[in-house]
Amino acid sequence: MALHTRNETFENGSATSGIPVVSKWLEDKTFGLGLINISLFVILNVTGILLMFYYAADTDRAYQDIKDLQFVITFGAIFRNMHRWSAYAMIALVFLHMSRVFYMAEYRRPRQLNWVIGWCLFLCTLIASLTGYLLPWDQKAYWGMTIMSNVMASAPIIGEKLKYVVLGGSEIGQNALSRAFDLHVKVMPLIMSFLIALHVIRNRTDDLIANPQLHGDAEVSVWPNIICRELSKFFIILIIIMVAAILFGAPLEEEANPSVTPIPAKAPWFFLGLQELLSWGAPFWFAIVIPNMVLLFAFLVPYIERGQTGGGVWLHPSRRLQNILFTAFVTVAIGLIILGAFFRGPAWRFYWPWESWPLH
Amino acid sequence: MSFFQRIFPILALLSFLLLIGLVWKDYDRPYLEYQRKFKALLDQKSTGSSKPVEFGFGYRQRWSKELGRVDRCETCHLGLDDPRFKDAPQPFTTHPVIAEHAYEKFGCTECHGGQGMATTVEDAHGPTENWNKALYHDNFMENSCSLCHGEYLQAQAPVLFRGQTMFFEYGCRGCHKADGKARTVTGPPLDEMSKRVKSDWLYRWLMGPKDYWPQTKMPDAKFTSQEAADVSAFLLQGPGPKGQAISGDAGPGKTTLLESRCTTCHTIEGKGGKTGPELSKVASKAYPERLFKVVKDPHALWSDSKMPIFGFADKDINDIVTFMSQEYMDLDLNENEAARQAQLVASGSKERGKELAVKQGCVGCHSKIEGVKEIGELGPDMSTFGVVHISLLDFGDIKVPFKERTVPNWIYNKIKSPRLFKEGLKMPDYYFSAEEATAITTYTLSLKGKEVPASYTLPLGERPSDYAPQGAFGKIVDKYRCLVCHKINGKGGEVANDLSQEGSRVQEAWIKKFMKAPDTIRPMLEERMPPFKILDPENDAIFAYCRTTLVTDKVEDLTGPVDKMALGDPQIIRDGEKLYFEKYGCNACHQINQKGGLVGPDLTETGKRLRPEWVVYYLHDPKAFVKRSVEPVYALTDKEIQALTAFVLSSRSSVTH
Amino acid sequence: MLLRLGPTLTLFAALSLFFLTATGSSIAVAASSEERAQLPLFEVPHKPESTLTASEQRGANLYAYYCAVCHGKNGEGDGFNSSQLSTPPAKHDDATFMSTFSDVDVAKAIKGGGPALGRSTDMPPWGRVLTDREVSDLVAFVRTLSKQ
Repeated sequence: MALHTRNETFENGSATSGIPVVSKWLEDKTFGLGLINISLFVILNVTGILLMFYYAADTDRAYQDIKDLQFVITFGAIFRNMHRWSAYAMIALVFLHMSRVFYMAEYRRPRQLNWVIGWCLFLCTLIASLTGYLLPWDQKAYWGMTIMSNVMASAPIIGEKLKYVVLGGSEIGQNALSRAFDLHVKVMPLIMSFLIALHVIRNRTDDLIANPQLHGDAEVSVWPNIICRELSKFFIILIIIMVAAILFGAPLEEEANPSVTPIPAKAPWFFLGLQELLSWGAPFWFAIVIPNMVLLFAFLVPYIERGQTGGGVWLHPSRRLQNILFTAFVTVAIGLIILGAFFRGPAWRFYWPWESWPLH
Repeated sequence: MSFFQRIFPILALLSFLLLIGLVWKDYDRPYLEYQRKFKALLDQKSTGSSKPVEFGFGYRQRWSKELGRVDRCETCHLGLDDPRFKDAPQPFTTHPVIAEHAYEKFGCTECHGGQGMATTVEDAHGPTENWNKALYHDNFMENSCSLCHGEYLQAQAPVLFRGQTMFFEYGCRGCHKADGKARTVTGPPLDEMSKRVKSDWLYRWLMGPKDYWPQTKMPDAKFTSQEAADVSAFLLQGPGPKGQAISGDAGPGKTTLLESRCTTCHTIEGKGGKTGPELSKVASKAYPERLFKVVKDPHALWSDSKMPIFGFADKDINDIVTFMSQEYMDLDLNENEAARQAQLVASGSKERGKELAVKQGCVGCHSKIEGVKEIGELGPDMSTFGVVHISLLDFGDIKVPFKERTVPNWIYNKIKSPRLFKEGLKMPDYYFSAEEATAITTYTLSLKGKEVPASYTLPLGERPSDYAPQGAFGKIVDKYRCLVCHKINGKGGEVANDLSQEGSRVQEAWIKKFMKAPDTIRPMLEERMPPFKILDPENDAIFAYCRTTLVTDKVEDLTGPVDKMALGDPQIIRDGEKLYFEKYGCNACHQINQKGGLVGPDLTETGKRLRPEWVVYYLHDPKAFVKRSVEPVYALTDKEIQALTAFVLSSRSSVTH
Repeated sequence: MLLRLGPTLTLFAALSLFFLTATGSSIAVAASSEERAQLPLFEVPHKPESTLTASEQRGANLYAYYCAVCHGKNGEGDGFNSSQLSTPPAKHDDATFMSTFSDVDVAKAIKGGGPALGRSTDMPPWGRVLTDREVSDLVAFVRTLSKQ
């Protein structure tokens, strides 16, 4: 079977008529997103290990340990900031990577399984971020987790039990913190490393990405070329994250206080869209059914979408419907988050971002 | 080579430089600047000493495991222990001597507040986004004392103690619960008001208590005119006075009144004591028959009244009331205005008045309000208000800069202007001064509901005494309300002297004469004891109790030695006179026959007043009984004590009575 | 149109922008709730301006309790008891007079009374009533009286 190169459609010219200029510019650019995500994963693990040395998952100590990191420990503040910003960046960039893959239809045969693995990784990223979010044991963490565990509890039949298992009890306390810590530090990195390895290996064993004809290199050797190219991108990400860590401190609120509820209590930003969705109707439909349907659909995309043309380039005209649907999905997902972040105030009422909230 | 391949070396270099930058940024902590300044000062102060100055840069902390606190204040506050930095600017100033409060054991933030874990100024002092418990302002510092030392710290934490006393005296406890603390009686009962006071007076009183009696503890509920009329109408339900005529002679009435020293407790035109209400307008307030009842038997009307039963004859009381009715009228009162106010009250709504009385919590201070049963604890519970979370405090419409948005500031402003934050609040206004508001704020802040580890507890205050005299003496004390002015065994007031050892102190004949006709012994006291018509059996009972109970062995044991002192020997008396005037200058503070100072008690008739044993005991150690007396301690020899005692006891009044 | 950045570089530029706007917007949202009309009545408690050091303040309290009754509130020698004394009390506000005494002299007078400096017995000795620290606080305060 002939190798399908991604740019066949551009090469034979017939497909270039009528497509927007942007698509032409985008061509088959990947932006190196996969590599960036791996870089971030590495940064997270390295900074995470160093943070782990100074952190104890004990409700009496956790907050104080964060303060120690911030004020006293050498590089403590910087690593903490790097860790937090890398985590946030990774969520966004994994999402972008997934979008890129969709727009280029790179989930088609033989890459279906890789798409599923990718989505598993995305979910793992979210779980790792959620468990990590609880560890500082501040108001944001405590109440964010409260929201999330209540969302879990609204699942039919198993909801309450699920919440109990996740929290290790009926309320967020020492058990929840220990569980979150173990998940975040031991379980998720292990699973993610394994999945990432699988993802990358499959990527290489499925069709080659590099198109020698387009990029003019007949053959390149891994060292120094590929390594240097990839390390460069890693360095750039590292530099951006380091600069962000120097300039912007990771947020921290007051120590977790079960008797003081923030008004309003908001989930972490990456689940804020879910919380916003939840506010539209019954939890059963809006927290369980709809998100799970979306998730199921996302996993099954390669098995549902069986088009043959337009793969390998951005925004090919023959995939207009798929692209529009997906763009709608992305817009809604991001829109929900923006809505939840900037347009919701006390009692989850609608407020314009410039409107002041009544404090009582 | 691809673009990225080409820029790889540059990026590698950039990353490396950034890493150096990171290391530098982490190293260059803000506190190092202060530490360098301190080292420069230290070098300055140590010039001339041979040893090089040792100073380690880096953070410093005190970790108190028991308290669970880590305090890093000394990272910048470096001169705390070094007396050479007494006059240095902050943050290097030496800490004032704090005796047993060693930093190792206590840290800093337990007393001062703030964020001990921080090493930057803004974070350590607070408030910040994630730490609202800022450093306590100097004015409120004493609030932390009670954590370890308990309450009643009169000498050690006077502001806190004042706040504590005011919390109960001004009836805060009437509306605001505070764990385990009982309410004290604040205001009189409000039964039978229609027989007691005139309706227009009650209206004026409710509109502004301080206009009638500037030192009243009753706050201003800021009623509107209609509301005051309604509440008055509600309180004044029932039959009016019977209309008994009180006829007497104003002249003798005035004499009796002046002789009875009413101004020891009451003010007349602003001058007098702090215990009773202003009297100069009392006839515009109360009906004459009520005045009669009050003077005759105040306890029947209000069992907690501080006023003694004087034991006047009915005729005398008639004279007094007649005098008051004529002289103690409100001269500024316009007749038409009074009539208009009475009319307002007459047409007021009783139901609305009752609602208002319940809403304003009158029953928090006053008992016996008709039809109002509940206990009036309408305000928030104060038990842990000292550590309330800032998000629970409503600043209302007031724009407050973030740095000032703290719990102490809110409490201070609430106490000073209770209705400041928004419309519709109901706490009444006490018109407290800044000092008073500060004291009460300090006390409120001390209510933390928190316990420190047992090894830190050291109660220092004197627990309030539960002394309650029983039997015949108890009844007399109750009748004449001795403990309003005097203290016995730790219980009582501080208007007059402490009587706890009176039995060892005074001679029988003198004290019995004094009780019937008190005169001035201590010129420095502001108030004089009123003459009560003490009956002979009462006098005997008082003395018997004094002599059996209010004695101290330290004095009684001196009876033998004193007998052996030849206190009548003229030579010894002359020696004593020399010592009194020449060596020790006792006349600088004490008077004998109107010559001498006014600081200490008059010593003219000491030979008749004090027991010799007491004089010896006192000269030996003036601080034994009254620790804070102004008398100096002379370390007299036994011979000198003997001589001085002899002289003092020998003095006789040159004025014949 | 678009700069000729490589794809990855474009992404990196976007990332940087993202961080800037994320933090910027969170600051903006936090600030908006403070914009309300200001009523001028909120008081921040302040200590009245005092030029006395802590030691001098302690001395001032002691002075008011033990000394002012003869020497007057401000050391003018016009205390409540001063008219009863045969020797007028020392005027602590008189700088010329006070300059003839060193701090050691003043401490001696406080501790030993008038006779310690060869002066009147009207001044009592407080040496057994006050601690050394209280005496030095008093000396510090007495010095401030003549500085007015």
